Amino acid sequence: MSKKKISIYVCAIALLFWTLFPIYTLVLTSIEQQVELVSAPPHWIPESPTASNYLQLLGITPAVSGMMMGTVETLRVGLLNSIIIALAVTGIATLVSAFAGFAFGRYRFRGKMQMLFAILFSRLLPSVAMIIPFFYLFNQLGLLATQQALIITYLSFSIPLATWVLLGFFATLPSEMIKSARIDGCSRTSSILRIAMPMSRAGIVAVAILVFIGCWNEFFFALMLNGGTPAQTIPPAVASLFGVQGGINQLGQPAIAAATAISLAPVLVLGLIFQRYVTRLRIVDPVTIALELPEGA
Amino acid sequence: MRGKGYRRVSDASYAYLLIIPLIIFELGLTVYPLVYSFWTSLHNTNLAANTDKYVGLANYIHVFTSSATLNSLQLSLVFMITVVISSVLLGIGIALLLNEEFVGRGLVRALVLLPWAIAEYSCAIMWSGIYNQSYGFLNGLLMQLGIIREYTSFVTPAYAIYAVAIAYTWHYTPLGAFFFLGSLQAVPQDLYSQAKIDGAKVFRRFWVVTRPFMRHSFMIVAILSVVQALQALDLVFVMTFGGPGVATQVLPYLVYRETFATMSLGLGASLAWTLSALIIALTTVLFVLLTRRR
Repeated sequence: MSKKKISIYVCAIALLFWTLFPIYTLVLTSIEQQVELVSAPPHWIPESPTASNYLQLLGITPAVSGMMMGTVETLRVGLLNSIIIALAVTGIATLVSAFAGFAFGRYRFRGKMQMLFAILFSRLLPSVAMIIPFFYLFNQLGLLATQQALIITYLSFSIPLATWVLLGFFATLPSEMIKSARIDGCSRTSSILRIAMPMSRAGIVAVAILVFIGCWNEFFFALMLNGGTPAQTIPPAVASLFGVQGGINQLGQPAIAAATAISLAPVLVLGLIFQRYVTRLRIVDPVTIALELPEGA
Repeated sequence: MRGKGYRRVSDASYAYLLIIPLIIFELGLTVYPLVYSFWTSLHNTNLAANTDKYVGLANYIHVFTSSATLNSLQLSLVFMITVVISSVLLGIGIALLLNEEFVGRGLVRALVLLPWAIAEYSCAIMWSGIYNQSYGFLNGLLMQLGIIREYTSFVTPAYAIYAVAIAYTWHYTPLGAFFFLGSLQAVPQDLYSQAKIDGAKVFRRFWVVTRPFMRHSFMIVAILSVVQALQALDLVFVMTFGGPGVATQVLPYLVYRETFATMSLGLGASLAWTLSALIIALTTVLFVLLTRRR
């Protein structure tokens, strides 16, 4: 092996270690007994691994303590809320932004640049800046502690992001097919639905995954608007087991780690899928849009 | 067939039709909340004390003269600079590595993105276990490697902000790395071969051939990481809750605390606007600097 090959493998191993070490510690914690976990130096391979935390949390075996029983219920409700909210937002945001992204990517119209800058601008605001008006607004509308509150909140983040990513995708589609469909008498709407959308399937799937992961992982609004209520999603549910804001966790690290791992499973799978699309996303900036993007649809 | 009726609508009006839903969402969910929160920032709104009177710029004067703001601003800048530099350098390194041919590259590529998919609050739980001072995995590892002699605490007043920044870098780097990788894949291979024939060494090849192709992704990643690092809250929220003491009380956390600890929404809103203004200003400066030469 050449010197270069060796250094490539050394770097690859270092990279894998950096990436996987923290994930490994979580998995390790979740399958160890509390006694073994606190041993120093740590047992990198557990002597008596157990899946009992996973089995209890997933409701496969009965919970061994009252606290565990409560946790199982919290997780179950949290997962259900998370699935409903993330799916609703993904559906609506992808639909709205597919059309908007097409308009921005392929048509020239007055006010386009200003609107694009406004969309980017809205992404610059931190969630702590938005929580005050949202809290007030939902309080007025009686929507606090409901699934709708989080769906509306997440749409406000997801639509600009999804529009921006899809815009780059639509802008780079070859114009010929869309144009010839139009000449053949296809209406604009059906040329979008029948030609442009199927051609951009990869981009749309990638955006849908991106939005879903974003919703599934969102913590701050989920905590402030719905935390501790029946409409709570999985992030505040798991964080409350860990003891947010200095609260004490009595469940024990292994069970908390197992709950965290369960909450991560769906997004890890989606992350693996997303990896195949991510290098094909073309993230554009406003100057590129103004100067380089093609015209016509 | 259906064409006639549709063609009377011009392309521009059709485009407006397509973006109407987006505009409604933007007006309702961004513009309105912004106006409301700016309005609040000019009042002494406090839900606990039940006050809500117009006070002009008094909240902003309080924010700009308070030592807590200064401390948080410093911490936020340290956090941001650490995250931006390490995630950009590491990201370029990872992209260059993943662009090389080696056995198992597909697997490594797939695994490398995982930390990005893991939410910040989960990262906080994970890294708390790693940094833990009585049984933590980092302590165990360093001890077994003979680097430390006894278990130490990493989350100390002096180092806590860096400990949090490392955890954040772990979570955030992969996304940028993949943006860089995307731009590397656009470099035509014959440019490399030509440079090799011309006798250019590795670093020179990177500088002359690769770098121009990475300029755009560099701008995107740099701006994104500045924005994200200044907005980051969840990690601190779950892992250190601003501590020990105020050692990790970055600006977003200060906004949270000022707003909800005493329910003073007016003060919180003015602080939130100050943070937003900082992010907008930095982003604009970066954008102008990085696009100037075009």
